[in-house]
Amino acid sequence: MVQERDARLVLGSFSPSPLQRASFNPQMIAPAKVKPVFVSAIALLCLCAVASYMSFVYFRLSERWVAHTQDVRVTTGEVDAAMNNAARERMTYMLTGNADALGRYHAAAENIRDRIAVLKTMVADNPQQSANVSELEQAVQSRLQVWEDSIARKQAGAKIDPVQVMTQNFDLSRRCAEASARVQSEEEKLLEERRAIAHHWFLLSSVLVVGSFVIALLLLLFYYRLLHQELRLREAAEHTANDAYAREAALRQEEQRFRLFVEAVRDYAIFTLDANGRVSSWNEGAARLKGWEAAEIIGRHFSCFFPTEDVERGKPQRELEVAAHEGRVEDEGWRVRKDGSRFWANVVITAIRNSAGEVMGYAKVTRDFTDRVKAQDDLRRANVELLKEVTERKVAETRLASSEKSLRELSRHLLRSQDEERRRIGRDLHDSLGQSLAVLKMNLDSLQMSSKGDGAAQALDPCVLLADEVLREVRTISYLLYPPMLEEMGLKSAIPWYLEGFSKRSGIQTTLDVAPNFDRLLPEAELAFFRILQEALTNVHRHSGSSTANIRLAVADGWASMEIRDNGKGIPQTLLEQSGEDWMGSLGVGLRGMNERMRQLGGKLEVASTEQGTSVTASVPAERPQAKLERTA
Amino acid sequence: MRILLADDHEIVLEGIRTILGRAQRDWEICGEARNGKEAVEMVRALKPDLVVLDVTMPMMSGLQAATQIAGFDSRCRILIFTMHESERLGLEVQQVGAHGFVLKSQAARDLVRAIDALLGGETFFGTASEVRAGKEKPERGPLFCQALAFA
Repeated sequence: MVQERDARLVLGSFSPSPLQRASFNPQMIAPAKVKPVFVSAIALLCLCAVASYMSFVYFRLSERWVAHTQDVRVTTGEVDAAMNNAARERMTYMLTGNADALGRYHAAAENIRDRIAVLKTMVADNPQQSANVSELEQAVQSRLQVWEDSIARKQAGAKIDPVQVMTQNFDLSRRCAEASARVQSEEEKLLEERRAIAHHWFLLSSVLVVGSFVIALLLLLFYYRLLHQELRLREAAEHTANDAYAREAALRQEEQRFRLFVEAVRDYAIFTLDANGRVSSWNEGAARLKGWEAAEIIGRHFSCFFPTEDVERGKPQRELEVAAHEGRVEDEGWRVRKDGSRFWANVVITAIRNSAGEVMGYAKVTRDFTDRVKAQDDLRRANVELLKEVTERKVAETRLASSEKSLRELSRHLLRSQDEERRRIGRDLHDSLGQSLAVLKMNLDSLQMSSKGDGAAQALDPCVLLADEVLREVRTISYLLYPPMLEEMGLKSAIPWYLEGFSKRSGIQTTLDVAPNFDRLLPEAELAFFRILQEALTNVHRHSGSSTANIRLAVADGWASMEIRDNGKGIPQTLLEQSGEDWMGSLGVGLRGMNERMRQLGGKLEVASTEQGTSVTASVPAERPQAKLERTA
Repeated sequence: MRILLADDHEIVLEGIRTILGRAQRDWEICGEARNGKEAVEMVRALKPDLVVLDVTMPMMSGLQAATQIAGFDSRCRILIFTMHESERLGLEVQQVGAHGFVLKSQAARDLVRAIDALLGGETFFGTASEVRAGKEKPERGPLFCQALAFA
């Protein structure tokens, strides 16, 4: 049980709940502490009983001694009484000679001897009293001797003197009385002594009895308390034990559940090995993954899961060693099923240690990663392909960028050569054809004036008109191709000139608003602005349906800008949206040309359109021309 | 009166000479400049009473030359002689300090009158009839203009 618990603890995350050991620490009272208390209590009680008994015995003894003393005194009294009786009967005999009296005297004398014999027996144990009694006996014997002698003389018929008889043995009588008194007083004295002893013993035993009884009671009380305490502790211990048992039961249940759970897991092979690497438990997942049933595999060495070459290299044993040393080992590699087929496995082996830290076995969790490995391979392949594609795309992009660059180069070149061409044609038209026509017209006019009134003059009229018209057309064509005013007077003059003609041709009212600080720009910028104006106004005329166009020239924050705004129907939203960054592409060659012109000058072209109209704004960095007077006209 | 001509086209100079020759005035053509710069230098050197300046010339345009000439010689009358036909022309000519202009197409009719006017201390900015005639001239349709503008 303890080992299993420890095993769970080693497995760590599999532990159903942190184990709570019952802290069982009984503070029992040692028997060695209780026993002496109890034994001494019993001993004291015994002592008490003995003392009581002794006290009783002494009491009895004392009583006997009292009775004995009384007996001695009574017997002594009887001796005295018998003496007196014998003396009185002897006297009577002596005086009267009465035979009856003599008989009674003998009886009394006999009684005296008898009593003394008794008395001797009674005091035989006491030498003092024995001596006293012997003295009494001698005195009595002496008196009786005297009495016997006197009786014998009477019987012999001698004369009896009563006074002599009465006084005859006065001394002996006194001796007897004294001896008797001594015996009695001696006995009294003995009685007193014995009483004192008895009293002493009685007191002693009483004290002993009471003392030992009290001590025994106290000891018993102490013993009771000890017992009570122990009982309480026992109850507490029992309670703790019950709790621990309940927890143990819950833990067992949890473990049971856990075991069932482990056994039921199907996607992971979870099993345990003993310390030697033999399979000791087997779950459903293991059976499914490896093909072995629990009954077949339990007890076999786990090296049968490895391919032969791994076994030969000692891999299984090495894994166990690493797990035992490090606590855990993770490995990925090929493993073998029962049927010999291979699968790519992810394996974690965890050492199971008991509380002493010794390796009891190993827990092994195996997963089938074959699909994952396959997926990783696929992913890797896809990555390689993707990388290839990206590289190709990059190459294509580079190519595209370079072709775009060359396209831009081309378009720049085209725009420039177009400008050059127009400028050349315009110039040629203006300079050669225009001037020649002007002179032709001059001459025709002169001719007409000099030949006023005749038929030739009339014939000249259509010639003059025709020359005038041809001159005008050539001029218009040449100006549209290349505005001569632009270079000479700048935008401020060229634009009004152009707007004039535009309004005439299109019927669209135009206004021009030139900021006071708007000065000459670089010739290229002026030409670009002029071309953009031409393009934008053409669009206004062709698409917007607007009746007006407002042109504004301004300089702000180092940028020279030209805005052409109309109040027409605007560029369709779909066209603007679909174009996005590349909006120029959707809006035709014209806008693209405008944009390209701006781009070449480091400027920008913005188009904003609503249903209330469109505004086209061209901006270039405002650079003042270095020496405008030096330029060729 | 001494007159300086400035035009880069020989044929135009010849035309002007013909018209002036035919005018029977006491006018002497003191020099002929081929560009604006030359014109300015010749005005400075020859001090003519009047200079006829073409607008479109190499090196320096007639308008720029007019500005310079007006700047140093207030006595010299300046006549702009140009192909450019524009309503704004009069304004611009005045701005540069010239005293009048004549369109090349109307030279036979206006040049002598204009020189007369300028030498007489007046100005000449075309005639009303001519401006109107210019306006009445039929313009080409938009398609034609566009074709030219965006060819």
